[in-house]
Amino acid sequence: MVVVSLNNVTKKIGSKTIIDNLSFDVHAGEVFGFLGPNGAGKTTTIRMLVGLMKITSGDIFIDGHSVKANFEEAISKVGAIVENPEMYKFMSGYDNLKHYARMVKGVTLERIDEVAELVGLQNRMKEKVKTYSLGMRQRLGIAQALLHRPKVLILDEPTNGLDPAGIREIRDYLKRLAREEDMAVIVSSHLLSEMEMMCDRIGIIQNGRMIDVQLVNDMVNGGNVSYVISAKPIDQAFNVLQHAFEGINVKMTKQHLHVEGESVDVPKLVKRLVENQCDIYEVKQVNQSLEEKFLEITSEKGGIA
Amino acid sequence: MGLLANEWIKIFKRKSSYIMIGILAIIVLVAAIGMTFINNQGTETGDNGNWKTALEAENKDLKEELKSTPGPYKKEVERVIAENEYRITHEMPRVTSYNVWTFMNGMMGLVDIVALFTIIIAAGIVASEFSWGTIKLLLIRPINRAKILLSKYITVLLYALFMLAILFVLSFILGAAFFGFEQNQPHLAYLDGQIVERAQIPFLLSQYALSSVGLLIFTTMAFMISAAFRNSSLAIGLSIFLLLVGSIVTSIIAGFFDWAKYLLFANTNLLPYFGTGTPMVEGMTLAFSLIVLLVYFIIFLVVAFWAFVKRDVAA
Repeated sequence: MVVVSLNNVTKKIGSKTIIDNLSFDVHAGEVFGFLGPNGAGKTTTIRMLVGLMKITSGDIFIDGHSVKANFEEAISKVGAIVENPEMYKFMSGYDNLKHYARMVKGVTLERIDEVAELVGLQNRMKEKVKTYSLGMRQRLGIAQALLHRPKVLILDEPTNGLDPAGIREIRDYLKRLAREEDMAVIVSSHLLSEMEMMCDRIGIIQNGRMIDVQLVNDMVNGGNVSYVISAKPIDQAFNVLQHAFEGINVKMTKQHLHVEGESVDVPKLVKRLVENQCDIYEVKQVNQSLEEKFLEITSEKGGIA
Repeated sequence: MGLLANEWIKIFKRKSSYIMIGILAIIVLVAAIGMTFINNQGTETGDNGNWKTALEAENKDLKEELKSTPGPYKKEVERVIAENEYRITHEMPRVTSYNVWTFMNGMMGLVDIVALFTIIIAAGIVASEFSWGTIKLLLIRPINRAKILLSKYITVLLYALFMLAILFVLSFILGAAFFGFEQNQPHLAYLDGQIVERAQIPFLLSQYALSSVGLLIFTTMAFMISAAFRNSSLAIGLSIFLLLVGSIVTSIIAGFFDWAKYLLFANTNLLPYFGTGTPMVEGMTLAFSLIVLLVYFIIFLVVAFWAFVKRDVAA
């Protein structure tokens, strides 16, 4: 089910086009990653999604409600943190949550406790936010976003400034929320490795344009796969492989052979080498990392920023 | 209602609000103690028999003086003469002893302090949300921006009212405690060349209310600057600067040009229309001042709401 839908969204500031005809959908129960280099327009897009910025042309629909025409309905389905989770530092975590609870209908005190427990802050709720670590603030930010049981959770750079344990924690939360509560989760980041672990689908944005949307599994496994083979004597192995199969590309370095191709039949390849009296020490599959893929995609389609 | 509660809580969860109340209370207390001290030194003027002849002599001098006084000051002299004559015919000697009413009248100057504090609150209430970054979480609720801004404006007004109430009640209590409660002493107001007697509490309340007109306007101005520039130090600085310099500059301009009467600061003091002091430019009336103030007031609010509702939040 499509929960968030962007239709040809454009943002112009002065004569400069920041976001150019952006369209994509996000479904319930998935974690959607919004990936792009700094300055690509991620935060601007998120600000338009939550109504902090006006949309120049196009529209955004959240659970069927237009952000432009029916903002209050649309935003009531959204929980969000835009950039850093800024809270009132002079108030306690509990007072902060109560503050936001007063702004929507139907959030009970029990719900506040429930959310606090969900993010694991129940023991620190009476303390002032001043005393919280960045990770705790991030969690309080998520608690604030979840108060009114939104259908969409939007987090801008949720792992910014967190330590590895904190990052892992947030990652697990988000996955759980998407699976268990059937929420649509949108996260933005410029870090690929993180997105790869967190998201089901990734949209890559550059210079205000969506240049690719892919399932994470496709990105990792799709396309070319390469193998590293270490065999002796290496020259002989190289010659054998070069003439043995169609459609594969073999390169030789000092100690290894790099084999690349659409469909490399590894068992056949090994058999052929053994038949030709080559000793095989190691055959290893190398996944092309998302990072390389990302760079590849961005440089292919319009130059890297 | 929830919004008002939120804003009120955000003000009173901070120490600075209590410091402001504390400062106000201390100033009133210090003034009371100081006045007691001065009062005790000058109590020998108990010579009551000759007060009539003294006032008659004073009036004679004043009437001489009236011929040579320039226009703007004439009215004040006339007022004193009228008051003296009223006292002579109604057997009311000038009250020389200091009492709760004179104290409260003196403490009315502290409305300016309340104005100062309210301006600080008004300047911060929108701009701080921007500097804290919390505006991004505040505006993504299912409430339109105009309502959020309105709740902030109402909160500022409530805060001003709260501080004024503290000032009024505190100076009444301290005044009565330090200087005694004097019942038979009405206020003599000068209206259209006539002296009119007024009861003290309603008179003082109306005086406080009139002095607060300036407070309301300056606070609204600070609020507008806060909403438009989104920077609390700029809003506080600019408003206080205008508060201090505005009326002086306006009175200088008023000495040369007639159009000074359209300036905000020429109209913020409404007391002259109710028998205390004189207006800045001759020929100004209460209705005129109220209309000018209303125009400024509406402009301030329109700019504040327009800037807050229409502009993108990019910070």
